[in-house]
Amino acid sequence: MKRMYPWQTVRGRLLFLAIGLEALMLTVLITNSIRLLHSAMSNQVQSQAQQFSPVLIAALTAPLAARDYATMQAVVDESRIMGGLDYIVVVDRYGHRIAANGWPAAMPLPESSKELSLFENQNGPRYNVTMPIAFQHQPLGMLHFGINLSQLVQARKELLLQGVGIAAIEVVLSSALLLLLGFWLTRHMTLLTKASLDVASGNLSPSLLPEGDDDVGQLGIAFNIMSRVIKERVAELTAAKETAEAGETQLRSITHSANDAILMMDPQGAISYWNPAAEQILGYQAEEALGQDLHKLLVPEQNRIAKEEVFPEFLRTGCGNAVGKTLELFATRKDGQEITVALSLSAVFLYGAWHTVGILRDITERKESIRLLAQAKEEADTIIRNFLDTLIVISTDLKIIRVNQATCDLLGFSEKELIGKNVSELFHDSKEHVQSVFSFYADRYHQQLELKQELRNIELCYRNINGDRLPMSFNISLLLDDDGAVTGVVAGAKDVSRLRLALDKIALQKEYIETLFDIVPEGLLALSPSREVMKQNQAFKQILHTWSKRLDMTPEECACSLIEKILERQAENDTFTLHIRRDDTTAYFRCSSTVIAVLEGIASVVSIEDITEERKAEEERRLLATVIEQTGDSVIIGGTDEVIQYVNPAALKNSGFSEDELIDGISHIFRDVLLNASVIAELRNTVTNGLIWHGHYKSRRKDDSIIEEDVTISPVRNEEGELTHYVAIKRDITEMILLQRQLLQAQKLEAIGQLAAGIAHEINTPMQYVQNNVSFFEMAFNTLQDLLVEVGKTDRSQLSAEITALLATIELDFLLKEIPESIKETHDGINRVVKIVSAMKQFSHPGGNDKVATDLNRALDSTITVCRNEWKYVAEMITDFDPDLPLVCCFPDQLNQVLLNLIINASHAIQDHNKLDARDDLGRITIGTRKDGTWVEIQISDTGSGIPEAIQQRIFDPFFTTKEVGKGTGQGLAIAHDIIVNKHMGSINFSSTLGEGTTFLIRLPILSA
Amino acid sequence: MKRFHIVILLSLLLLSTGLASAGDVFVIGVAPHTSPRVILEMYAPLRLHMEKTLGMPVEIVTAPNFDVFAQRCLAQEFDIAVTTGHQARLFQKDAHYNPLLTYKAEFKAVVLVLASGTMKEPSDLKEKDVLGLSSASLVTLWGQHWLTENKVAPKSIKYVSASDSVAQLIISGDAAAGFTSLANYQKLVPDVRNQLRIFAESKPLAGRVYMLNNRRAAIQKEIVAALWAFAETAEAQKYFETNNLEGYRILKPNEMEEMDIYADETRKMLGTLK
Repeated sequence: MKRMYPWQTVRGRLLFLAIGLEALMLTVLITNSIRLLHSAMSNQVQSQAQQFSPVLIAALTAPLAARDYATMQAVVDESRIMGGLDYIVVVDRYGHRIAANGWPAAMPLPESSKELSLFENQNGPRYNVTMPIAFQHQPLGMLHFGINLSQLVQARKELLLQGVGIAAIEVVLSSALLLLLGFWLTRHMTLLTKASLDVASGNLSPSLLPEGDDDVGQLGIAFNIMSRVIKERVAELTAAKETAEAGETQLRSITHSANDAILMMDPQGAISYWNPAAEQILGYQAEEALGQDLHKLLVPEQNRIAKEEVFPEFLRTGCGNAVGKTLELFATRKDGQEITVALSLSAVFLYGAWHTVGILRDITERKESIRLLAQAKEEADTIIRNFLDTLIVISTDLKIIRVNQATCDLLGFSEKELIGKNVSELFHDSKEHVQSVFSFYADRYHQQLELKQELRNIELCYRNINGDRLPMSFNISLLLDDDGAVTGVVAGAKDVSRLRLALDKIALQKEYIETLFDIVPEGLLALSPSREVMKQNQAFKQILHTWSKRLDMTPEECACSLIEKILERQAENDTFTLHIRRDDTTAYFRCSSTVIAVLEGIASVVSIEDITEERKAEEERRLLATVIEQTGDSVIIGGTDEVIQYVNPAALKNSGFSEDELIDGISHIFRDVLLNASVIAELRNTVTNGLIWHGHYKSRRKDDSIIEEDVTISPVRNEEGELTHYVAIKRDITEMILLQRQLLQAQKLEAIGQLAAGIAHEINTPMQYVQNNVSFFEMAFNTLQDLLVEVGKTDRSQLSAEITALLATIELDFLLKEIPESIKETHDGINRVVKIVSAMKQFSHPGGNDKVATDLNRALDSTITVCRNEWKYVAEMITDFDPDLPLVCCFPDQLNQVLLNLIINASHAIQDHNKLDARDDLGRITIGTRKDGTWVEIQISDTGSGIPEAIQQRIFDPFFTTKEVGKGTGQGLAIAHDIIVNKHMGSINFSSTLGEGTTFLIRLPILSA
Repeated sequence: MKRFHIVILLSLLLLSTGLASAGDVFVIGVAPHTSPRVILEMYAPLRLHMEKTLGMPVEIVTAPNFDVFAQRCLAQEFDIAVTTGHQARLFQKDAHYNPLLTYKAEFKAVVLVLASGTMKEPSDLKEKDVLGLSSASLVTLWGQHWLTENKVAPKSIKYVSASDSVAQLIISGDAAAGFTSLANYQKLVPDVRNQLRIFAESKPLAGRVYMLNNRRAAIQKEIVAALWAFAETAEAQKYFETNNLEGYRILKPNEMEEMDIYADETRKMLGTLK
C-alpha cells in the first residue's frame, strides 16, 4: 500500500479543516478586538483631551490675563506632574511661549493630531491637542499639550501579543484533541486497512479485528467472517492453481524452448499467446504483442484479407482454408522489415470458443539463399555466355559439357555440335598432349601431391570448322564439389594470334622510336621510376662530351650533376632551365620533362637543349640595352618611314617630351630639328646610301628652348642588306658650345689684352716723354708769363722798336690767355690717353684661375673707358659709384666681360630706340654700385627701347638674340648669366619697360663662395 | 491731483499715528482688585467697545498682585491703567500717566467682620488675624492706617488675592476681620454677604481711576471720547449697574493729590520690593 501523507487521509483532512476554521475565527476575534480597542481608546483619548482642555484653559486663563507667568508655569508643571501628558505649552496671543513643560524650547510645536494612532511614530505614542485660550472673546493665547499614549500603545501590544499567544495555544490544544479524537474514532479503520492489506498480500490469516456491538464492532465481525471464508476459498484455489501451474510450466517450457514462433489468437483476433521465439523472430515482446490484433500487427497491409471474410466461419466451426496447412507468407517485424515465414495454423477450442494456434518459422534466409543461388547461376550463365574469350567446361572424362558463344563463334560450330565431344577433337595438338593438359590434376591427385588448382598461359591450337590453326593461350581451372572432389575443369582461352601480331608491331615501333630517340638533335634522357638512366640519345651524349671537357669533368660527373639538377627542377615544373658552373665556365640548358606511367611506376623523359650560346647572346643584348637605357646621349630609332619607334630615357630628358608624345605613330626622327630642308635632304641621302651622317644641329625642346646637339645618324640593315631602321644618337653640346664660345671670347680678350698691353707699353713711354715735356713747357711758360705780362704793361715808348714791332704783330694778350688753356687741354689729352691705355691694360689683363679681391668701381671705370667708342655717340654715361664699395672676390676678366656686354647692349638698345623714334638726341646710361650687407650691387640702366615682355623669359637663353644676323650670336647674356650665377654665385636680373629702357642688376657676394 | 496728494499724506499720517497701526495692541491694565477672570469679565464690554472705536486690538490685562501691577505700570506696560487712587497718584507722579476719569460710585474701604461675631470695638481686633487684599491695595493701606489710627495691633495681617477669599476666610474663622472695598462687599453673594457685616467704613476715596499712558497722549481725545461713548452704551450701563459703579465722572480737584500719602506708602513698598 502506498504511503499516504497526512493531508491525504480523512483524519488529516478533517483535522486541518478544523484547525483552519479555528485559526480563522481566532484571527477575526483578535482583529476585531484590536479594532474595538482602538476605537474605544480613540474615543477615550479624545474625551480625555476634551476634559483636559477646559481644565487647563480655566487654570491658565487668570494667570494669562494677569500675565502671571510664574503661576502659569506652576499650573503647567503641576498639570504635567499628574501624568498622562507628554508636554504642555502655553503661547500668548503674540505667539511667544510663556510656559512650557515637556517640550524643548527650540523645537517647533507639533500640529494638532487629527486622529488617534496607536502605533509608534517618529514622535512616539502621543495625541497632540491645540486649543485657543480666550475669555470673553478676548484671545489670550494658545494651549498646546500632548496626551501620552504609551500606555495605550503598550496595552494594544500586550493585547495583541497575548491574544495571539492564547489563540496559538488554543489552536495547538485543539489540534491535539482533534487528533486524538480522530485516532480513537478511526482506530478500527487502521486495523481494517492493515488486515485488508495482509489479505491482499497473501496472508489469509490476518489478525482478527476487535468485535463489538457498535457499528465499528459490527464491521470487525463482518471482516473476520470474510477473511475466514476467503482463506478457505483461497486454499481450494491454490490447490487448483498449483495443478494448473504445473501443467502450464510444462507447456511453457515446451513453447519457450521451441525455435519456431508459437502464437495464439483469441476469437476476437487478438494475440493471446506469444512465445520467446516469436519475440525473436518478429521483434515484439510478449507484453507488446499480447492483446494486439494479430492481422494488423504482423500481416503486411497489402496482404491482409478482410477478417469478415474468413473469421465468422472459423469462429463457428474452427475450420478455414489455412487451418491445418503450412503456408508461406510475408510478415512484418516490429522494425518494419518484411520477412518470409512458413506458418502452420491449427484451431483449439478453449473457454467455449475457437482459438487459433500458429507455429511460424522465418524462412527469409532460406528464400534469400535460393534466390542468390539462382541469381548466381544466372550471372554465371550470362558471364559465360558473354565472355569474349572462349570458355569450355570439360568433365573428368574429358567430354565437353559446356561452351560459350565465343567458342562457337571462333570454331564455327554450334553449341549442340560441341557438347559431348572429346576435348582433344577441338585441337590441332596431339590428343595425348591435350588430354594430359585437361587432366593435369589427375596425376597429382592420384599421387597425393599438392593439388594445383589451375594452369595458366598454356598454349594450344584450336582447330576451327575450316581446319585452321588458331593459336590460343589457355587458363585452366578445376571445378570442385563440396567435398573438394574434382568434377571437371573450366578452360578459358585467348586468341593470341592477334597478340602475336601486335607484339611484332610493337617491336617494330620500338625500334623506330629508338632510332628517332637517337637522331633527335636535342638531348633526350629517359629516367626510370627509381631515377636511373634508362636510355640516353646521342645528342645527350654529345652534350656530356662537350661540357665535360669545358667544365673539366668526367662525362659521368657531368651526367650526374645534370641529372641531379633535372630531378630537382622537374618536381616544380615541366619546362625549366638549369645551369652547371665550374669556375668561370657556365653551361646553360633548357629542359622539358614528360612523365610516363610504366609498370614499375612513373618514369620521365627529359629533353635537354644546350642554350649556353643563346644565353650569352641574350646577356650581350641585355648589356647593350642597358647601355642604351643608361646613356646620357639621346638614342632615337625610327623606321624606314622615319617614324620614331624607340627613344631612350636620355632622349626624353634632353627633349623634354614624354614617350607618348614622341612615339605617337607620326612623329619622325627629324621633328623639332632646326635645319633647313636642303640639309635634311642631304642627311637622308647620306644615310640611305648606307653611310653614317655626323654633324651638329640645333633642336627645339618642348619648352621652346634651343639646344645644340652633336648627332650621328646610322642606317640599320637586315641580313638581306635591306634598310630597316634609322638610329640617331644625339648629344647635347649646348653647354659645351657655350663654354667654347666663352673660352674663345676669353682667348680673344686675352689676345686683345696682350695686344693692348703691348700697345700700352709702346704708348706709355712716348706719352711719358710728352707729358714730361708739356709739364716743362707749362712751367717755363708760367715763368715767362710774368715777364710777358710786364712787358705788355710797359709803355711802348720805353721799349725797343724791335720789341714794339713784335708786340704789334704777335697778339700778346691773346697768347697769354690761350697758351695756358692749350697747355691744360694738352695735359687733359695726355691724361686721357694714359687712362685709356691703362684701362685697356686693366681690362684685358688675363687674370688667373683664382678669384681675387677686385675694386669693382675701378673695373667699371676701365670698362666704360674701353668701350667709350660704343656709347659716346648715342648716350651720356652717368656713374654713381659707392666710394666705400668693398673689394669683391671675383674673376676680374670674366666680370669685365660681363660688364662690357651689358654696356654695349645698353648702347645698342639706345641706338635702336633712337632709330625707331627717329631721334638723334643722346640717351642715358647710368651705372651705379652700392653695398648691400654681404653683397654688392651693380646697376646698369639705359634709356633704350626696352625688352618686350614676350621675350623677357628667354634673354639669358643661349643663342637667343633679337639682333639681325651677323650683329650678335645670342651668347652675350647667356655667358654673362653663366659667369655671374655659376662662376660667382651671384644673381643677374633685370627690369624693363618697353619704350623707356632696361635696368640690369648684378649682385655679387663680397666674400668668395 | 492736489486733493489726491492730500489724501495720500493723510493716510500716511494716520498710519504713523498708530490709530490703526497694524500689529499694535491697546493694553488696558486693570489692578487685581479681584480675580483675573472677574476682571476680564467685567471689562469685556469696554474692551469690545474700545476695539471697535479705536480700530485696533484691545487687551485687558491684570497682574498677579498690586505690587506687580504697579511695577508694570511704572514700566509703561499699559496704555490705560485702571487702578485705585493711591497707585493712580503714584503713576501720575512717577510714570507720567494722565488721569482721565473715574467711576461715579464712591469708593470706600470697609472692615468686614463676621456678622455673628462679637466684634464691637476696633480694639477687639487686637491680637487677631486680619486679612487684607494685596498689601499694596488701597483698602489694605487704609485698613492699616485705620488700625494705626485706632491703635490696634493685630496678631497678623494676611493678604489674600480676592475679596471673596477675604469673605470666605472670615466666615471660616481663619481671620477676625478683613479689609476690602464696599463695592466688593456688595458684590458678594447674598449667602456670603449676609454672614458678614461692615465693622468700619472709610470716607470716599479715589477709587478706580482710568490713567492714560503719556505715549498715547496723541490720541487722548479719541480715547476719552471712546470712554464717554462707552458709558452711553447698554453694555456699559449693565456693567455699571452690575458692579455698582453708576458710571463715569471727571475727577474732582485735588482728588488725586489726596492720595499722596498712600502713593508714598506704595512707592516705599515698591522700592523695598526692588
